Amino acid sequence: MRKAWTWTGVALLAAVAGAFDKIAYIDSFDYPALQETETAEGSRRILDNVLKTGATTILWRNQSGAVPRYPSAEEARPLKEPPLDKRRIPLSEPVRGWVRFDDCGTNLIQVAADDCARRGVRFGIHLTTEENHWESWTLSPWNLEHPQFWCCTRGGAPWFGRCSLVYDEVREHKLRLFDELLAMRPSIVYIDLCRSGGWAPNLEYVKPTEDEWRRLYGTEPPADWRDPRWTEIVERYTRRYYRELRARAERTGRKVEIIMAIERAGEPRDFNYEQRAVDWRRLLREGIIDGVAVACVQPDWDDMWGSTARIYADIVRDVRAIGSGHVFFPIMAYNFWLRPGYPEYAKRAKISEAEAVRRLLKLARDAGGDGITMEVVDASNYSPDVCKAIREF
Amino acid sequence: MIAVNLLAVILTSGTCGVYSPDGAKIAVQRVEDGKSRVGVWERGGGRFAWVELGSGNAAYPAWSPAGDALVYTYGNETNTAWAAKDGTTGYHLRIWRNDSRRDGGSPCGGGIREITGGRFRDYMPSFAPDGKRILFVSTRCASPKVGLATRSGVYAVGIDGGGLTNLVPSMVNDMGAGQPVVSPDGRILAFAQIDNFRDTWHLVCARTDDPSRGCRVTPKGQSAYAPRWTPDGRHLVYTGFTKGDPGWCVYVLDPRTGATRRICEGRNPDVHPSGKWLLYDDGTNIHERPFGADDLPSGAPPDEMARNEPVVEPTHVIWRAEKPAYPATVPMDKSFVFGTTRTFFVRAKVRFKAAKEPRFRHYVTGAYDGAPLGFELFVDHDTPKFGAREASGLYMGAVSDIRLEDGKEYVLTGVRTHDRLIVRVDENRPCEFRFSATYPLDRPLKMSVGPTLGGTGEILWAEVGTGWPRGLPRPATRHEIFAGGSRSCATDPKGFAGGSRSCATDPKGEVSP
Repeated sequence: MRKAWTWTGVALLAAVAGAFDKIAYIDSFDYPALQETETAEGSRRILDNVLKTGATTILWRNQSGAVPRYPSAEEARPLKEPPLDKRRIPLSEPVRGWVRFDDCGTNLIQVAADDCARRGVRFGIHLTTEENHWESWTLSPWNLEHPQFWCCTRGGAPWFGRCSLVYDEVREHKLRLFDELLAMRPSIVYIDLCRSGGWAPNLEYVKPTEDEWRRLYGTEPPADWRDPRWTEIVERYTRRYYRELRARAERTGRKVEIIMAIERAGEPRDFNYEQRAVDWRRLLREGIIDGVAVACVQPDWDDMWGSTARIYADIVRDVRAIGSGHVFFPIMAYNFWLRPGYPEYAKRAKISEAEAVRRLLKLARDAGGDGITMEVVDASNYSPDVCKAIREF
Repeated sequence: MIAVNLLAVILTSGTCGVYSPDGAKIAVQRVEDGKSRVGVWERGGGRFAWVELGSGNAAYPAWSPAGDALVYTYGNETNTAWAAKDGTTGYHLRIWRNDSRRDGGSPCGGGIREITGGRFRDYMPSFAPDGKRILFVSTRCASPKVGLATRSGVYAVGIDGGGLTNLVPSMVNDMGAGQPVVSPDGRILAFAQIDNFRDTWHLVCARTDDPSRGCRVTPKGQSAYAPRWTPDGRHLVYTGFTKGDPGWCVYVLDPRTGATRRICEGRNPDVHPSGKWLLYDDGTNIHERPFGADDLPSGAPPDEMARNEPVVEPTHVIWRAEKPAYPATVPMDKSFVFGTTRTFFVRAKVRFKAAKEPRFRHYVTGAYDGAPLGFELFVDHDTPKFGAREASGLYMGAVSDIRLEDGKEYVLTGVRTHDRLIVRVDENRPCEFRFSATYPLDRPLKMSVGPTLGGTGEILWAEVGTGWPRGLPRPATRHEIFAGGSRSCATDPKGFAGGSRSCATDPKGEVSP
């Protein structure tokens, strides 16, 4: 049974103003080469830039890989700064390679939270699930101190890229980190499944998972990690973690909306289930998450607007069939092969990016969406025309 | 089952302890006022004295062979990264020279001299056995062109700061090295290496006269770092983790065979000059325990995970076409069955044509049942790559550090062995991507020849073959590195031992045509 929510003034403002919420998430690590980022003033300038989009909700990234972007007691270790740990290769790039968001004397996430409160914008956390960002400098001190909890390949090779959620110690560690974030009073938590640091169920050949397979099926764990029975085991552990995450949020006595970003909507196979061991429909059904944000879609490019509208409608139908969960759709400047953003729509339709954004905004609203998400608003990827289009919608 | 470590005693607080050459002192690093400091602890009397008490961090002390100096890394970041962006601060090597004879034996006497500079991180130093040069790890191998770069290679520098040399380059992002140490006879360089973020740290040995051609010496299923030679130069002690271990453990390795033995929980080990004591830490305190013959590994490596030797078979071209028409499809017969261990190569001479689109231009692509892109030699914008799939089917690829120029001709070579992908442009330095397991290429379907979408380049010839391509230096084997205990080189180009030696094998390790 959920506790009664205690709405903060900020969240109330956002709820009233945000009939169509415009959620921007910020990777402050996109800014260090352009401006000061390790001070409160620098943090405010980042927020100034992002608010040009007309965002009504701001999500601040919690960590670089697994290195917190605030002074974390849970990850506090002496000698964690590269190169003082033999197991991390330092990032060498000028400026970025020397940034210490966790050790600059200011809790920059708290600064962002306070600024959002002052400006009447809803504040939240962009919660990534990765423990590396494809580079070892982003591994956390806790990870490096606990190789016994690392993931493993089927061949038995330990992989330091992530500690397995199968272990109680790992889950408890991550929940303590989540508690630290909750203490900064976010109104919304956005769970990112894209940034996984190369993790997939193929790396869960750890003893508890293998033992469970043997208990259930009486054979050695499968050679093919895509075996649905293997995914089912890993998904149970993943779901347990998110259930406990939800419980921690409820324990605060405040309303903390938990949104999960789902990847590659519209594909026949569920990438989120197969590659991230997450059954978002079940999480929604069990009240573990409050809604979903479609992170990216794979439209049929021969009918890009029509197929996008159909994918949006399918997601809304799925969510509404389960309950009253929120649904958000992407207005994404990032543009990759598997994650096409609005630049791809603009290019294929031979229209301006601002016009493509206006059409996507309309699709999102017409589908019954509760708002949009803007993935990683960095210094210049959302052009002034695009910002204006979003702001005025 | 790990041995209960009843014999160990805590000596002092600190980490990364190293015995002095006479065994009477231990250099350690300790956290004091939130900073890492370096000091010396007297093993007999228990006296402790700081060597470096600057306002920055000092770490990784290592003794000179004569015991009269310590080298360590020192860095002092006082500003935010933005405020310091035009500065030259970094982590640099410092040498503290002991003038203790003048001040009554206090180890804190003497002077400190900085021998490297620049906005780099130079760290994990050690003296070469001749005492004239220092080996260390540095981020210098990341050039501004690279952009976001997480790389560290092995370097050497004279004790006067001159003669900086890159011994082991880092060729791709997140390829790094750690704690280089030369064997007491000056012949073998050991260091920790990681090849990419999907890899794990492991130990590599190379001959000091050819340090960039190393061979992995620790088992594939083990994470390993922080090596130190035993005083007799026959074994390495190091920090390791194997699935099932309770945490980081101290291991001993016979690098000639790959046999290992786990000693106890702990990290950063060092062996006393007498060979009778082992030093290690638990992240907070320095421990010492007896060390002897019973701790040494014996026999062969325990299982196939220790087999790191590359498979070498005679070079054989199985398909070749001069000025092939393209795009073309070529059927592949059973000679294209490469499995997971067979070494094969793909080569093409191309005239590159720069174009913004398409991004990917494939020259030779092999499709297999279960792996439509079983192998692919291609260019990503202007960057040559050779790709394949890892055991789980995920993409992996070797990326060249050469950028192709419009209108020029190049020979592009891709190689897949049992544990690595290599891409090479002309005779330039090959770039590698190493892996633990690869996708089995057992059921060949067809090969595609030609750039995608056509018209974006020209193929002058192309070939596919098994074995090692001619002219490409092949990876060193354990046998090459360790065979011939008395082997010496006529010259000692790296100058680590100071003696004269001769090479019994071709130093480039090429296969004769």
